[in-house]
Amino acid sequence: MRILKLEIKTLLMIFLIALTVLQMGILWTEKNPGVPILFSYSKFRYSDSPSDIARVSGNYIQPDRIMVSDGSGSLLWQIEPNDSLFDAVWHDFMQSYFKQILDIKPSEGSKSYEQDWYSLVKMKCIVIEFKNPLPSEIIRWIIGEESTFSPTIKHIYRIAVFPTESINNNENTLYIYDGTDVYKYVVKIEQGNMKKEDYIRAVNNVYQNDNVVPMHRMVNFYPSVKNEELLASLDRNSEKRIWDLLVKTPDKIILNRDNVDKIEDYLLGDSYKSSMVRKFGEDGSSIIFSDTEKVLRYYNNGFLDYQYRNKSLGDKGHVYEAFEKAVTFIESRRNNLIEGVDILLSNIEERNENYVFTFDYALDGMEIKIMNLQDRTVKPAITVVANRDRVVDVKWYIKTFSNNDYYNNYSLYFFDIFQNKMIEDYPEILNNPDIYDISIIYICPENSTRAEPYWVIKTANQDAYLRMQGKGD
Amino acid sequence: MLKKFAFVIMVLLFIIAGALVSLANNEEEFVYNNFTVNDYIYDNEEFYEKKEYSHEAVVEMYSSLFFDADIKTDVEYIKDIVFNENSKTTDNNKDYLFNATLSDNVELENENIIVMMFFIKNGDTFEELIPPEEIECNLRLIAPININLPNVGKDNPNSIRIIVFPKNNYKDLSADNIQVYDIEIFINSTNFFKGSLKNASDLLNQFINSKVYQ
Repeated sequence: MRILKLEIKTLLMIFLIALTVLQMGILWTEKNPGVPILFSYSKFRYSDSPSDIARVSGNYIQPDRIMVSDGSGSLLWQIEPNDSLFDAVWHDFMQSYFKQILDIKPSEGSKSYEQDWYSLVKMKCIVIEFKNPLPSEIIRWIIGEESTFSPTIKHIYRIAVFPTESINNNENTLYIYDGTDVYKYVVKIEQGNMKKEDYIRAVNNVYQNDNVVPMHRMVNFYPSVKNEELLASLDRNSEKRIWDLLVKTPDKIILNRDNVDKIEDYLLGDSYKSSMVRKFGEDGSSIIFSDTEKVLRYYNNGFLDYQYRNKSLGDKGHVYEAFEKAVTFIESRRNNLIEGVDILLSNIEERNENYVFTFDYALDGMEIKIMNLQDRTVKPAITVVANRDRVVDVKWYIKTFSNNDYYNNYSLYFFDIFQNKMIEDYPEILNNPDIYDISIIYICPENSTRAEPYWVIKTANQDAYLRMQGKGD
Repeated sequence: MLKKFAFVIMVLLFIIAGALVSLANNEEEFVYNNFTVNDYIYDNEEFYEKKEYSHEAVVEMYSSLFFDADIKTDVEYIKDIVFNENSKTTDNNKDYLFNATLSDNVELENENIIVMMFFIKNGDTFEELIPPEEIECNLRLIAPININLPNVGKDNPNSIRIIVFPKNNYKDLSADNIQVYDIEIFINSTNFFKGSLKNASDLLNQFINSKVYQ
């Protein structure tokens, strides 16, 4: 009898332990979707070799949004980045379609609407948009395309996939907009790509997906809106659940006198550190590493300021060569430091002697930017100035992110923006809402440990940042 | 034995406490909303001002003006008037969104309120289509208004009349200070019935699926 009791107790213990593990698993999944970073295989495989850099560079490029146009002309359905359709469409481009686009010449579009981007996206199609025009050189380098054929299209800004246009079952029709002209390509649907009927089904059934928020093309509802591309929700009930973010300087590089060797390891790398002179700032809030060529300042709020002393030295080169240098700089330092977010290229500016690449942290399709509370300016997470030979200047807020323990539901309804408490700071938007773009981003004040969602309202004259008010606020 | 009994009592207490907490949350929210709404209405002086103005009284007083078949007005308070289908599918239906923009001559001030009345022609008479809307003029764009149109078919148009006037002028309305906007909207009967059939089919599918999963 006593043995039976013991067995029952043992079984109960095992059951309780199993329940505990299950509960931990549920909590883990809720707070940190994805594979725990320490066990991610790719982290162990990374090296600095050019082929590895090209491979990981693909992680720095992602569409700003993928949307389905239902053919009504008024509605566009925005697919969330964690939706399987988003991944599948992007996979097709990275694995197959980009290669074909860069290898062939565009077809001649015979119909008038084929030259008009705004007419095209009113029809039934899937629209892929980048934040800014992306040089095709960079895409060619990332996908490892070695053809000597010079592509007709120099930049890729937006792409519309028309699965029903070609009657051939193994072909898809793509219209690519470079910001000025529209180019038509007919590409082959290769093995491993989404099938044509999958694309058609995605377009026809998008309204049945409860997770997809329809966005209204504002000009169709308010003809006085000047920007034909302005999208916003006119559905009073549309809302989005957004987690509050905990933002920290990575533990491994917290600035103190006992941690200098580690900081050196992470931020300088073996090739530099032997030659560097190190010195703490007067107030102890920063440390400076320097040699005859470069200076690196690291502050206690995680801000890294790297400068090559002779900025004009080096050949400007092609944009993809400078991009390679920028990505190598970031990639060799982010490993094991930055967790929970992607780093995505958001802009490229070409200067006389070099290129300026802007990167942002991104989580759940939302950029995370840094706000300077003194002058209320909002900055990107990383700015890298580089040329073919080297990186010459870097400004980088090195932060790591995780979900705080709470979230809120935020209204996406366009008119709720104007009920925001902070809108009074921007009277010109109320008087003349000639809005160029509306988006939602996270903003983290420079020395804060918290990032919250903000509306970004872009007008011709200024960008307004309004902290979103949750349903419970 | 006593320990076991105490354990069972504790578990029961936790369950009861959990149930009470969840009920208390719902109750609290409900009572709070009621209280704030009532409190706001009866404590606010605006309520008494609004009592002076009555949509019904205005319609009754100015019915000959509002429903004059030949009336033409020059004044414009709202412009860019658009009726769009309000549907998540491309099938036609009877739900529409009304959108408009305040004209440039309307000053943007919170106290400035524009009244919009929507009527639909039924034979020789006009009937109220939706309750009147009061628009606070703090933004040029007017928030969309949902309208369900009753008539379907090309021989059965929805003849809509919109009357617009500043609320402050309600005591002295005339053809010189109201805006009258007439529009006819046709709903294609083929598409409407196709949409209705599709909705019925969706409902049937949902019913069948729910049976399957039970």
